[in-house]
Amino acid sequence: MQSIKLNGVAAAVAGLLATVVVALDTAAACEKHDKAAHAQTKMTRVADAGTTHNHAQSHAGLSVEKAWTRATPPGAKVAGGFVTITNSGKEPDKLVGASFALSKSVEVHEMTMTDGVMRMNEVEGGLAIAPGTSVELKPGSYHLMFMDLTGTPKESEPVKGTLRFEKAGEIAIEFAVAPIGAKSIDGAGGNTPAGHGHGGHEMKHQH
Amino acid sequence: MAAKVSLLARIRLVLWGLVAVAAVVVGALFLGQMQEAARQGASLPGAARFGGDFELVDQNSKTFSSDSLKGRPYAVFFGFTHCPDICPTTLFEMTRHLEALGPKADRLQVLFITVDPARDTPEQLQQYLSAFDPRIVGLSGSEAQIADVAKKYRIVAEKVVTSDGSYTMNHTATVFLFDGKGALTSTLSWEEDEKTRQAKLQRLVDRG
Repeated sequence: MQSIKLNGVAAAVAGLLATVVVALDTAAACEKHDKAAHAQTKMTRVADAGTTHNHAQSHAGLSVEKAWTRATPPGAKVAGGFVTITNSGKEPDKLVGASFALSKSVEVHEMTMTDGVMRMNEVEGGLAIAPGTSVELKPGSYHLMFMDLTGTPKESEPVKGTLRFEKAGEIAIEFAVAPIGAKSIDGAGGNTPAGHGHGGHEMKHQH
Repeated sequence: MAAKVSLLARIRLVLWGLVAVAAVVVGALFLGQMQEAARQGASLPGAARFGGDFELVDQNSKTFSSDSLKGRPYAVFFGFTHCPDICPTTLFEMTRHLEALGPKADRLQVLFITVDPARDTPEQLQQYLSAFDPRIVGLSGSEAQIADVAKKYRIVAEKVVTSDGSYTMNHTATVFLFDGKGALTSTLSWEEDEKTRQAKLQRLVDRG
């Protein structure tokens, strides 16, 4: 096929050109390297100073928002729960447990997708929430696994629960219930539950 | 020194520009070939090694043989009902896709095969699938039968024990699309947007 021949020629040209440019770049990079190394040392020192300061302050607490789950098909024994946790404090904290009014237990899981294979792993030792960061438990990622459902979450009927943190303690939340197949709290792929513009109940917890 | 550097910089810029142009040309040529292959209705490389005959039990406790798939395009995916996220989501999405296909959806057979036959009895599947399009067939069987089908479809299915003493399943979540001749022609991934998946299913039913 002619196009295959063309492909080969074009690829060879591209490869040759890239090699020349990379050689030029390597020379230039050597010159820049010293300067960059200096800059990095400086930055590390600044960061060190910041950490020392932080020890003097107590953590301001965590905020929890956008807690939601999905309606489940009949006969479902498990469900996934999602929530956004923001650590506005200065100390790291950890999500170590949770409860859900319609399940016997809750575990914190991480879902990963590699080469089309979906894998579930329990997050060992709790999910770290670093200071100044927000961790979103969402479909296809970290989530709460509601095990052994004792009831069926129904669309637009929020379900009570708690999140338990290593330092911040227990925070009461309410999970908005989106339709089956929803990809976010707004019910993408389904209808937004009436009267729940953004669903969920934002709760702040201060120490 | 400054003039030398700027000359070098200019050469670099020009060369990178040429690299970019060459890369675009290579990309365009490859894309052209792929589209041509798609138009001709080629199946995926190694397609013959995917799939195979099986006999399982559907959600109405009736025997389901792969013979009934002959001459019909079908979509098959594996999952289980103790699945918090991807399985109900995929079932929901397939329900929407079938709806969007309109009358042509009747040409397509959608199969949901459990990787957890111990808990997913036909009764459990029937209850669970009642939330989705009734044309979706849920299949279960003995552990050995499921293992055999999983092997034929190159499915990863592994048990993971959870801290409450129960277990969950790691499994291949891809939806495999087979044409009427039983050849694997495409796949659906949950990372793809709805439009892309819908277009693939549309092509599948149009081709037959």
